[in-house]
Amino acid sequence: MGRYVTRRAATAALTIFGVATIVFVLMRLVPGGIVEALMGNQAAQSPELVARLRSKYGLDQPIVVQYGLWLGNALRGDFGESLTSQSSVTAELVRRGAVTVELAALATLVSIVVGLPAGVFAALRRFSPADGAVRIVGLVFYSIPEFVLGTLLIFVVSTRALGLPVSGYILPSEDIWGHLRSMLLPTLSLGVVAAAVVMRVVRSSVVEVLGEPFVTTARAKGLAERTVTWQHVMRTALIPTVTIVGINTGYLLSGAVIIEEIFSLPGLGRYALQGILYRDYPVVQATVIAGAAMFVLAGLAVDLVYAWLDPRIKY
Amino acid sequence: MTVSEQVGSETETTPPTTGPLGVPPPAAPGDSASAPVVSLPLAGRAPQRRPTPWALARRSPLGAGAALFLLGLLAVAVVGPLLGVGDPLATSPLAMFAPPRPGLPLGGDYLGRDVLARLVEGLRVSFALAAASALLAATIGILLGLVAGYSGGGADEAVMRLTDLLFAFPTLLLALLIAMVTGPGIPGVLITIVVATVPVFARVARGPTLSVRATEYALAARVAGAAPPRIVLRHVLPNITSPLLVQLAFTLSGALVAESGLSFLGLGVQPPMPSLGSLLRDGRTYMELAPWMMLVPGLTLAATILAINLLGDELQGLLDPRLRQR
Repeated sequence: MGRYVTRRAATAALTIFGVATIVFVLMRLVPGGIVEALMGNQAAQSPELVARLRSKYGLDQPIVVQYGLWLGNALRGDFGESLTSQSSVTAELVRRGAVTVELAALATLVSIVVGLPAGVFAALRRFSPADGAVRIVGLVFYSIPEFVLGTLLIFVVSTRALGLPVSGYILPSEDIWGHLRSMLLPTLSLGVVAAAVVMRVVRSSVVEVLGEPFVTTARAKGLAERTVTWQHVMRTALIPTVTIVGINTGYLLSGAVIIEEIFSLPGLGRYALQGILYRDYPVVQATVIAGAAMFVLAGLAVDLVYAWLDPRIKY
Repeated sequence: MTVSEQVGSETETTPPTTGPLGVPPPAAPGDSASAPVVSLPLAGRAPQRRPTPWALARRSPLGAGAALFLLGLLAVAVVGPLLGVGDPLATSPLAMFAPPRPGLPLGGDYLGRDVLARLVEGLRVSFALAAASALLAATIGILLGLVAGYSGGGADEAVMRLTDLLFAFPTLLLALLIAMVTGPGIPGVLITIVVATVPVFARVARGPTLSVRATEYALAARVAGAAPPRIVLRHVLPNITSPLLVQLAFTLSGALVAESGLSFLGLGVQPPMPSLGSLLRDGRTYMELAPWMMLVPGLTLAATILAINLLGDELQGLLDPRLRQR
């Protein structure tokens, strides 16, 4: 187990390093590069200023040296400063990361609270009309892209005057109740779609385990159906839920970018989008690395929890 | 009807638990080299009866409905301008925010353009972009997977580590990164979908290639002196098509979602060209003034994805005996 943890953690670290390298290389391919992004058309008129800016950002150094410096700073958590606001990217990353993580966590909560019981319910009544209904409803929500669902929710809430905020963000420190209200629609847009995914996986997992020989054995030795279901079936069948919840993280991170944009939440996704709009590439590069790192770490956490939960897995 | 034709009786289909880009979830921990199981055609096995489309439709009315709906949309997208719905770019001050009425069945948008004409053109653009990127990704990914699986060793290791690395990017983050380099527009969307899907195809192609390589007919071809490219293309590829076609179908729906998501964010198809995503983007801005501008592309997109997933689900239920109701 110890060796497995070390090896898996090392792979994760290597992956994040690889991601950072790809991001660095791609950012050097931006046409015009950082100086033109800063100066626009003036770049052609003042070669002197161009040279000064190039040296300020270390662009006159060989690419390998630039990479080394950049990587060293990134390792110390310093992603430079934003070209548009001159503020520290890292500070902003932490502030906005909290919003995105909260959104993803709330959506994950919704996906488990709704998806798990729905999946178990459908599986225990498999092939019945109730199962069919749950399956179709699940498929519908599974198929609606979260930005379509979010837009439809805003439409319904604003035309029916339901009094829910459809955009904007309230800090929890200001008004915790208002904060939760402002997170409600974004959480639903993201969480309901994720719940459909969880439901489908839980259902098929439970159905599969119900057909296993050990379930027949449990019944044959005269155990009550309730004991069979909850003690024998669920314990085995629900382990894959851990995996799907982890896999959903990447999906939620992707979805969060669009949802933040729709509901004007100041999260990582909107930060990155603004970065693209203003060609603010320290911002884009830092948000992409942070997002990918979160995804990789979530995968790591899932694998470790899985190994701990399932004694059959030997590494 | 590619989907119903390709899912023959011989493969175990990939479960449709797919992420944004039709990417199947990463393998469960512990089986890093998981690959779709392919049973190879055995010599002397009686040919299995393939159910006719009619028989399938009788057993699954929902699936048949979804297939018909998709065929209809596809037909609309292909014949497009021949339908006589008018110019998707022509503006008319009188039709600005006009509610649906005879002659303007889906209303007018903020420039007085015909929403129906824009929907038809948007379907064309979205479908073409999704199909082009999925096919391109399939070609590159399958070639990589074939080479990795067949040659093994260093090439295999390199391709697999590259796919690991690309799997570490959630699709939308990759899209943001690429949009930064290429700028917003169609090339960025195309590259994003290709880069995000190539590793999936490489994985799906590699697994079965490994098992085909070990078969006697592949060995026989090698003994007969066939060059590796010939063996791979003539002997391996034809025997691993089923899982690849299933993956292609999922990729198409994933690509459709990716295109519309990116266009919705303003990173994809640029105005005045319509696509399902950019129509929805316009519609969102004016949703209180002209809800049809948002509802038409939004519901079309949702219905299309639903139809693709429903069809996939139903086919899987019909063809996988373990899921069939007894």
